[in-house]
Amino acid sequence: MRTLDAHPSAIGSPVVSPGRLQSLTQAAYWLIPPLLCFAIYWQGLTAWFQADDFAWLALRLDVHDWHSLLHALFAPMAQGTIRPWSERAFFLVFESLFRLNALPYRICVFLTQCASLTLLAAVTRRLTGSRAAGFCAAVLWIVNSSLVTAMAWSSAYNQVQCGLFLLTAFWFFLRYLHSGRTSDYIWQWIVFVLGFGALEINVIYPALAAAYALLLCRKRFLSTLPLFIPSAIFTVVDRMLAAPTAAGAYALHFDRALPATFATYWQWALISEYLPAGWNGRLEIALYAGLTLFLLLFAIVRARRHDLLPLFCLAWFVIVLAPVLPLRDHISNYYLTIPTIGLAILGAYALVLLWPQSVAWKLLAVAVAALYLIPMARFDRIATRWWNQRSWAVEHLVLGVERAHQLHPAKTIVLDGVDGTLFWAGIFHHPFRLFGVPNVYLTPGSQDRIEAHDATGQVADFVLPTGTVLQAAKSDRIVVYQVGPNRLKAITSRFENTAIASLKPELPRRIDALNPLTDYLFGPEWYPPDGSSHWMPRRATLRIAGPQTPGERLYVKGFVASAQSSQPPVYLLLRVDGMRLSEAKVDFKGAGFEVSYPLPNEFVGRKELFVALAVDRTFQFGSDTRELGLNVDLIEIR
Amino acid sequence: MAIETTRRQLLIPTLALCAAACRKSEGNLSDFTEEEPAHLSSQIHMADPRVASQLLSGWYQVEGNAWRWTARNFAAVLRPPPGSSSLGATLRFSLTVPDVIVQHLNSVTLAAAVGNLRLSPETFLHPCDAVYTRDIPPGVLSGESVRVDFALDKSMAPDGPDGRELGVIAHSLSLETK
Repeated sequence: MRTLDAHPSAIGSPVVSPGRLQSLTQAAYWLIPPLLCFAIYWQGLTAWFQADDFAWLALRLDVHDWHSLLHALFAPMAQGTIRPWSERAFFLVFESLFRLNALPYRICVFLTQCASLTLLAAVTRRLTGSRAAGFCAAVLWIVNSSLVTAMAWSSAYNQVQCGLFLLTAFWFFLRYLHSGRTSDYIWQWIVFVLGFGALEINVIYPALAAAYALLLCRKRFLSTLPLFIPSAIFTVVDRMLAAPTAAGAYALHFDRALPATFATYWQWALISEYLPAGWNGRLEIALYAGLTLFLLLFAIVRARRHDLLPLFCLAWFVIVLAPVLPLRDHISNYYLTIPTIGLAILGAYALVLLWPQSVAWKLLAVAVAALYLIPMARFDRIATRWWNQRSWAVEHLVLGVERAHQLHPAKTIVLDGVDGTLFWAGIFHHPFRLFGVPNVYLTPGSQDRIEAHDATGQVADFVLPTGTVLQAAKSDRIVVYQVGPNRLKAITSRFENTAIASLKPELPRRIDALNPLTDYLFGPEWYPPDGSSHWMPRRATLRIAGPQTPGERLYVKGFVASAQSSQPPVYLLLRVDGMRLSEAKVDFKGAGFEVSYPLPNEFVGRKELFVALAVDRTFQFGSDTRELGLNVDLIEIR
Repeated sequence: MAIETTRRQLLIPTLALCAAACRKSEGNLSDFTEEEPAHLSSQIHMADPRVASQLLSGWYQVEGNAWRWTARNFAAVLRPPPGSSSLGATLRFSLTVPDVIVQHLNSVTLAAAVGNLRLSPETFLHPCDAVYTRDIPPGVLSGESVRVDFALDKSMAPDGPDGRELGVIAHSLSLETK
């Protein structure tokens, strides 16, 4: 355990002399890091929602009673994550109180980060025995570019909150090492266990505590071992709940890419990821090599003098980063939010030890600090502004659609001029559900302006086929808006006239069965779609364009109703232009079903196919007297 | 000392949070869109108050937030949809002939006129949901609006406390370009 007495030469005056100046110094000591946080990231404070935020904001729509509330809070969601405090409760509570007023959410994030900065200063002071080191650690951490995402995007609150849990638990652990009080040990346990509700990374806390004890307070090492039990249990449960991901961005790769991934994170931890292209080159390499050399040499020199604190700081970086290193295809700078705490403590410790030395060492300390701080702070602000402006563009789009729905509640909203940024940060995440607007589409050709993201979804799901647009224009069922920088501009009349003059009435090869504008493609047998279901009875018909090339198949996709999940499979028979295709078994084991049929080559190039569907058995659910066959979501030839 | 200072640090942002809470309402959204000049609709859903002014005569108040009773004669004005002057259009009137009408009148015949063009009538012998659909040839629809007149051959006379003359139940009316 390091104390003030351990480094008398390295430490500033430990305290407290009476007088006003002393009070002001005290206040400045604790307030400057949070103020710096606001100064650098203030545009994150005024940012609106974007991307995954909308999924969390929509959680409220699924909460109807205590059972659904518990489900919303604790059921595993994307990639099997369970983050009740930092995602579920955070968005549920704030959405209930403030709806889409983003400022309170952002204030909460900033408050949490301010608390973490204060804790980091206190932890560092206790580790190094230096008040100045505590201050420097907080400053070095807050300027690190890995914090930009967390400080500008509400969905990254899990990183900020988990940092607070880890620092608090570690703070109690240090108090316990110093005092030996059981209460501190118990508080450490409580905070540690609660931390699992913030982020899975919390699982590494026992390794942090054990590493510290092993390196700097070996007599307490055994007290850290029981902490591994909750982590082991959590890991087992988490792996059981997480869907296996053999491919895609969240697949784990334990291969030769691990060192390269680590090197990328190490670079981002020292040099801003947001450096402009002009910086790439010698200057960036020199900066990277210089900072790396400085930290490693410092750690080696101190280790040779039996001071293992720098090694612990490096261990903090490696231990916290370790769980995300196998995510070879999902390297994100915000994963560095908590690991960089270790480097901030290391850097601060180095600076305060160099400062009392000769002028040359002082100059080195100033130079190293400046080379790290100035580019980081500068480009943090630029990156935060980018997040901020993107969120505002999404806000204008989303609230514009809400306004359009207020004015035209019976019509389908179609957007023109959407680019990739707006699509992937907004539309793709279905923000309009929040206002009860289920269907918002893009004009034909929009996919040409939006880059594809294979891992996350298809732009085509949102683009209306030309024939459908033409049909909708003729029946005055759409309102069309051009996306502008500040507002949506209605262009319905111009668009409809152009569409009727230029678009051909061709049938689509992909039919979104839930889109009310495609109703002209379905026979009269179908029950009307209601936004989330489109049921066919025992037999039903539809029209679709023929395949473009030989070998294409006809796919039928749909949902399984909860009452169907206990039913045996049904067989779906298709006839296309009178020709019987093979029967397909529709299983009700999952949340949805998909069956496909090979299409004879003679259908290739046909402008219209008449498809007749028939199931061998129908259902009746509860008080619904309808004879229900299948709930179809998509019919597609590809 | 650290804890006390932290408390003070938290006070100001907490007050800001409370102030932000007072701004709960999302406010006026009118700045978020720039609308086209108002024009008539080609489609009338009977419960939509925004197009109620296009129902000229012979329509009673909205019931069940979905439909209206008509009188024996009723009329509305619609916008000719884009391209309809050259391509022609389809008139669709979605209605219900209720049991009570058939019981009292045995059958009912609906006729319509779009502008000066008379459309062929249709007779309903049984209670049913129906769509009265007629083609409008090119050249008939021009200008910003067109009047559509409907006439039933008979209606239910005012009876008891309900002093209304009742025809059929209307759901929606639209013109669509062919």
